[in-house]
Amino acid sequence: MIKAVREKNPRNAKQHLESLTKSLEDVGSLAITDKHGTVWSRYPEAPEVIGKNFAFRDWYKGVSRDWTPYVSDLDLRVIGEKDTAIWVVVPVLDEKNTPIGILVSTHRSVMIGNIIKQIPTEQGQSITICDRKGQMIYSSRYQYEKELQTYPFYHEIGKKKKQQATFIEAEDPSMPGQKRYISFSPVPISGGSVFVGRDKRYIFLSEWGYYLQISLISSLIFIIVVFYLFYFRKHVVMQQVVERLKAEETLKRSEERWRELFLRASNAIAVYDAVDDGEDFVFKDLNPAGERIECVKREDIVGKRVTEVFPGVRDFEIMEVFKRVWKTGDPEHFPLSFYKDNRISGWRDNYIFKLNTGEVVAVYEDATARKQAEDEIRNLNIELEQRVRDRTANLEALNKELEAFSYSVSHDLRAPLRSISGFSQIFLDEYYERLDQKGRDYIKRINAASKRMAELIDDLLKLSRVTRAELHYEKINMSLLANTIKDEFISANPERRLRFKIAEDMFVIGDPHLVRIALENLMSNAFKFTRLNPDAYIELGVIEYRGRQAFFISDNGVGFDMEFADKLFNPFQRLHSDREFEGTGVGLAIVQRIIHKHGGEIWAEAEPGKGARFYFTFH
Amino acid sequence: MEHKTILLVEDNEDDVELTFHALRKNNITNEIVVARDGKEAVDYIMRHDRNLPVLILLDLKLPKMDGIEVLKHIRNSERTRILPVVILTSSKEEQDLINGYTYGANSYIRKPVDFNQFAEAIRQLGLYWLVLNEPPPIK
Repeated sequence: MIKAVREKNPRNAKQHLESLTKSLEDVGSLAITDKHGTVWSRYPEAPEVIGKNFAFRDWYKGVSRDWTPYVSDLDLRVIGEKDTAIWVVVPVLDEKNTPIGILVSTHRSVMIGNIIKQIPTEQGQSITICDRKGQMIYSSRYQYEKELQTYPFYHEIGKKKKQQATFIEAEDPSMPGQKRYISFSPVPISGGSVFVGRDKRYIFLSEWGYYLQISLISSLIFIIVVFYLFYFRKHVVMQQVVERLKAEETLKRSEERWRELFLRASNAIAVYDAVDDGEDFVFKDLNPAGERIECVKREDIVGKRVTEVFPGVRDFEIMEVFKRVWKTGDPEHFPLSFYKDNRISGWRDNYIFKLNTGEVVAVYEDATARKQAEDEIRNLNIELEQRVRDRTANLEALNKELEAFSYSVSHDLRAPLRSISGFSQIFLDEYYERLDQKGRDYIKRINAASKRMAELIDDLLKLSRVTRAELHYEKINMSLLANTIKDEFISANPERRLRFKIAEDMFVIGDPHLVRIALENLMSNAFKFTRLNPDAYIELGVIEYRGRQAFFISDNGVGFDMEFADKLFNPFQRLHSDREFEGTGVGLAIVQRIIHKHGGEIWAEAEPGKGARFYFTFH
Repeated sequence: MEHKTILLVEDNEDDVELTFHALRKNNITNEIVVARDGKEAVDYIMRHDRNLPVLILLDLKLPKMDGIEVLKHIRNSERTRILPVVILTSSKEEQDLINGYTYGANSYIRKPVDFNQFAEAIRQLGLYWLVLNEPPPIK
């Protein structure tokens, strides 16, 4: 509670007050004020007194005289029923015995009265307890709790010496003609008195009987008061001791924790004091991590200047940073730098800041390993890039070679083919009559074969060109392209009757040249394989496939058996014989290469006799 | 009447024979002069002052000097610049097409493998360049 009082922590204080109130019966309320008498905590809660100063009260004046416990005169309470009460106050002192607050307990007259009422009294006997000023704290005979009332016989008795138990005989103002005997006794510490009044008629007991009674009562009150004071004091002292122990415990544990952190940190932590107005710094402490990194012992360096322990520190250029941090209090990061002296060297990354105590702390790590790793990575990257460049150059050279090869093929292979075809045709023309049926047949076959070979070479070249081609992306109007191809086909084959459905506004991003080739091949297939169908119908449109746009081209032509679907895209692989439909079987291979080059997919569904449908995407 | 000669620049023997055959088959009776390589072709053109060919059929792949070089020579000389040159080659490579037209060929024909088609191509060629087309006046 001392801590609560010192820190003026209302929540903690209230808890203490609450527990105190509960442990002591008949305490009306407890409050804590500062040493000037301003209330800052009360139990039970009474917000109207919080912050109010009660230095005018007798209890404050009494306790603040020499800061010892005090029992106040009777007064009216400021809250609640505003009835009469006395206050018992105990000063709250810290370890040095300076007052840091006041514990005030209110004892309402009615509460005291409840205790006193338990003392058996004889008929006609009245008990009154007064404070120093003769105001009635309790009276069995008179009204006491509503206003401050002076005991009617107070002044009379005042004429006599009041320091010893004695009694007087006086006229009873309320019962004229009657005499009352009043015995009184002072109550030590509180400065009050106890009065027992008796009707003359009821005097049975001897004088010392009165004495006894009065003594008992005053003793009782004395005991109660002492009890309160003692208990308070003890409680407060106990609290003080307990609090102090707890605080010490907490502090110790906290100390241990931070100390542990300091000792176990993997980064070096060095603590410095500034000297020479920040020109140099002296070691206050260095943690074990620091000892390890710098190969020093803490004991050897504490008290020494950093310039002495690390002679290379000025070249390291960190001293300016220390000085700046010490002067401004703003932390700084001193990034990766190389430290060197005759003893040790390495890369260091420092974080420097100033403590409340004025010391400067540097937290750093030996980043030599890290720096090496970074350098290695950088070198590897450079190497890698060089390797990539070499590879690319290689690939480009390879491509050039392939191009030259294709050119050679296109030119050189065709020449002998031309000869074969040409001369066999001439031979057929000029020696027709001299040949029999078989002879003519053979020549025709030779011719046909060479034609076929030419086709194959052409298609091979197309395929290789597509593979080699670089993509140049543009936005392509597929609908327009399809219609163009359709028109070309119709004008080249006017005899064919075809129905078309080409969706509008189809767009795709791709290489225009290659996309055209792909679409041409697909549409040409559709045209070809519907040749036998008088009611040929070809459709080209878009669908959604797995969140992407997919095109489809469907025909109602001859179709194919799905069993051979996986062979569909192999170069030169055919699913129909030459007699049925011409072709080298390379068209779909070309289309697939183009689609895959764009990162897309192509697949087909078909039924023999019903037609085929090809789906393809460009991404 | 001056000879209307056709200069055929072709190194392949078979192709020469086939071309001859195709021309004859289509009743093209002009004298045909054959140059077997690029150098021969250029020499012929530059040497025969008076008898410049009315048509030059030029193959591209030639030994010593290739077709494009010959073309450049033809186009560089004041005398021969206006001569009609038809590139007759089996190459369909885009670069050859570009080069041919860039350096001033009048036409580019790809030799079909099939002889009938080849003969048809020669027929159309002959019809066009020797009959229909107005040849440039040669001094």
